Amino acid sequence: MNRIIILTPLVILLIICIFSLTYLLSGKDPNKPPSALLNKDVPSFDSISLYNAKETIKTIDIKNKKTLINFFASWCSPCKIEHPLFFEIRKKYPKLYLLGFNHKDQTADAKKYLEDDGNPYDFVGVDSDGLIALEFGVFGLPETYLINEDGKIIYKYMGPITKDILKNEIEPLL
Amino acid sequence: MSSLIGFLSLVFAIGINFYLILSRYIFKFKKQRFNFSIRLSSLLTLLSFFSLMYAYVTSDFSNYNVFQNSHSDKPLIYKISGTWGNHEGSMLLWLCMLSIFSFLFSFSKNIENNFQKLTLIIQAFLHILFGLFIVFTSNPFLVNSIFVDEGLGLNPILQDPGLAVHPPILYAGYVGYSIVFSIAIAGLFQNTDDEWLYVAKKWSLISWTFLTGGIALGSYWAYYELGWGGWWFWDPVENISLMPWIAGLALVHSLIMVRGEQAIKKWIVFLSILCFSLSVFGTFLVRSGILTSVHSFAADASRGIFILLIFFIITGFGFLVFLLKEPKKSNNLNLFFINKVSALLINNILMIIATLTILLGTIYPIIIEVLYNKRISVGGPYFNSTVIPIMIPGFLLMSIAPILSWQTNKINNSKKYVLGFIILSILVLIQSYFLDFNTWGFIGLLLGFWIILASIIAIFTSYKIKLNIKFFKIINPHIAHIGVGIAIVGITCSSVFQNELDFNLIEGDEFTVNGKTVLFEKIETTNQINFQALRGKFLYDIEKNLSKKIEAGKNYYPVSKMITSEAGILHQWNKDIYFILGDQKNNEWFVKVLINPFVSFIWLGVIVMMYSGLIAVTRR
Amino acid sequence: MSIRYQRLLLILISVILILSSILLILYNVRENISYFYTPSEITDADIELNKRIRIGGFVEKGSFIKLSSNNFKFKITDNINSINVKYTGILPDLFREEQGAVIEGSFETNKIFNAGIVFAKHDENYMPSSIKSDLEKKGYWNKKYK
Repeated sequence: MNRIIILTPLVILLIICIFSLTYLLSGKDPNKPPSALLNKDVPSFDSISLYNAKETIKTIDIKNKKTLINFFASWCSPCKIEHPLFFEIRKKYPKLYLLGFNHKDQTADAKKYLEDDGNPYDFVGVDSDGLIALEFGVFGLPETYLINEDGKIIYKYMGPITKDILKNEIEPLL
Repeated sequence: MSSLIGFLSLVFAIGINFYLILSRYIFKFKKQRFNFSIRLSSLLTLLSFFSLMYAYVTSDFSNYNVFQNSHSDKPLIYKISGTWGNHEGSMLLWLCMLSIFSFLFSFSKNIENNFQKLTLIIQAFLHILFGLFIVFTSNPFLVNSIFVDEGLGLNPILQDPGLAVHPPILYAGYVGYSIVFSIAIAGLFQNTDDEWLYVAKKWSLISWTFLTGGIALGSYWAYYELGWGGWWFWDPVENISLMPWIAGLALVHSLIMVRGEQAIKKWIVFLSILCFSLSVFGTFLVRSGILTSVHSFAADASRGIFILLIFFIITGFGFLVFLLKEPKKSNNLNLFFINKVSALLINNILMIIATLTILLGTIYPIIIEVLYNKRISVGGPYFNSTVIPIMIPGFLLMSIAPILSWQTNKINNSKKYVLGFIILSILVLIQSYFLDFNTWGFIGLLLGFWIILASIIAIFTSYKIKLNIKFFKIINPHIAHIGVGIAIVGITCSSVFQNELDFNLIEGDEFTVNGKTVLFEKIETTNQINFQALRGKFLYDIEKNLSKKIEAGKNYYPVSKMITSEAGILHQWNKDIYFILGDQKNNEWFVKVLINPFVSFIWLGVIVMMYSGLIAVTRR
Repeated sequence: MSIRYQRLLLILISVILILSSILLILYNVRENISYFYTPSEITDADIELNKRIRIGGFVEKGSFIKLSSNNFKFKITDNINSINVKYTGILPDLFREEQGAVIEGSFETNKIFNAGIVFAKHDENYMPSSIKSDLEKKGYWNKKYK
């Protein structure tokens, strides 16, 4: 009798652990919110070109075009690492519209950066005050978004993209 | 750089603890060298914690954790509190607390050498478990792979002085039970004299006092920050802090009573294991993301499994030792119908039932979802209608328990108590007749005032009144119970007699609250350091010259793009007037006014309880 | 009273306490839990009127109507089905169209759900531009969010 009483806590412990473990392993997650950004319309933006202040780009300009948006800056060293990959993308998918946003940068520095490393973008928009990045919910540089023909964001990547990411995650969507 | 130092010292500290456990069985350390190693590992853990804090203070965004949870615009105090405002940092704080307790325990005097060593060995074992958890699943020293010039900001709902100090105090309570756990297990192994009971008493009182403070701070924060006018919501996170608190209360009472009886020793060991298990289980529930709650951190199944494993190892080990190593045979219980021991027994039974009730309500959704694949939630009504009735007999008993005798059924001056109870019942009945009668209100007020009255009668009839420290130590149990009585009165009034008024107002409107005229002056927006504030300004009691200003509104935090409600509260000793600013349409603002009577009594009661907890630590 | 009799009495009291608590728990567990549904599950299952349940989903775009400063109507949807909801009181700070929300309450009629409590869920790191433009319309936040 005494033993049975002392055993109860162990039994209760076992039951609790088994239930919790089953729960955890079943992959249920009451907290996980669906990503607010994915499959949503691309935020509206309105920006001027880095090279010509009269040339503008607006949300409507990328309608019906599959677009890759990349936020970069001359002061951002990881951006340099992913930079060559955009030339690769350009070569492989000439139809894809490459839109770069120059984030919180000096115009002169940005121009020099694109001169030294080359300019893979179809259009370079200026986001000197970071307002466009804010609309997109950009955390840090670099960040890359893929937008489909309907103007929905179908992919987002934080940090420099790599060959693996390009091959396994981005290319299947192109 | 600071991240590297932090990580290395964290790993070194774990290494030292491994070494310590080995040393006991291989190298046979001398006491001094042993204590030195324990203290060194504690200091290293502290160093690790402070280097994380340094990274936060200097906004070092090359640290991924800092990048995720901080922002350079934030005021310094929230940069510091940001250290533990996230999962990784709070686990490091947990480990840090564990080390601090080991550190302090290594200094305790008058303890048998081997017993102290064994306790510290068990602490080292716990340190390794939680240390490995941090290193493998929640490392706060990860390097940020993205180059950034700005962080992602802290959840603004956490930007609050109350919440900045809440986790460290709460954790001191939770983790304090680790040392009680280690002491109890070491006591079982050594099975020597009963010295360990006194040591355990001191530490469990310290933990309990911290836990009380932590819980109270948390609910005070919920009261003024969440803007719902309540202070306890039976949120899962609140429940899991309440479980070790109630179990800890049972433990403290058993430990205080142990001087007369030996048989409850076994029960004490059980409670010691239970308290720490519940603390770890609470951590598991919060960290695994199993429960939905305002407090929960990002969910991660691997973390959940790891910490479930830790919970299983600690609790399983504890109860297994308990099963195999029974305490020495001891005297029989000195049970009478109504003496101290029987009162203690019933008190313990009730507290354990209450703990189990809360446990069941908290994990019931998990069980149902696993078994039937249905999602349910167990809300406040379940807890209110089970926990409170279960506690009522306990409250009745506690009013007289301190003056019960050890050996007989006799109660001194019993007539005075009966008389007091009758007079009090009549008074409360008359009071509730004039206000609208409410059963719960009647019971709550009667119980609360009865506990206070009985304790006061006991103090005046059983002791010679002297105004010195010794006297306050002697009457300390009564003081603690008076604190509970005050809190019960506050809880009853603020929940049962709460009054809610709704208004639709245009700027410049006057309206009546509680017989006083209130002017809705205007709506104003201002820019603060890291947020924008929208405030409705009210003037309470405009007839008088000394009318009070009340501001209620919302804050908008641009960094994290969040909005928080800021309730406007006018504190008076006998009531809080609580303004909430709602939505607007056509310049008509919705304003909700809550009148919460005697809320301040809750906090006063808690302070009295904590005071007597501290006094009890010094009392032998 | 002999000691033995007293002990018996004590044990009896304890047993009564334990039994009555168990009864209390069992009764209350049956009475006070609320089930959690998605809008589609509700259309499939028969839900009694006035039974307290929770529904989780998104606030449908364009469905939010402010009847007065504290009376609201909106629809909760999971992109398959939607439920008409009415609510009186103060909505949570983060309640917006197209954002996640959990509502607790009961069906008043077959068509209208009367919410007693509304919980808004939020994704901490992203505020949709709809919220921002909404805020701008209200005119009490500054235009610049820098």
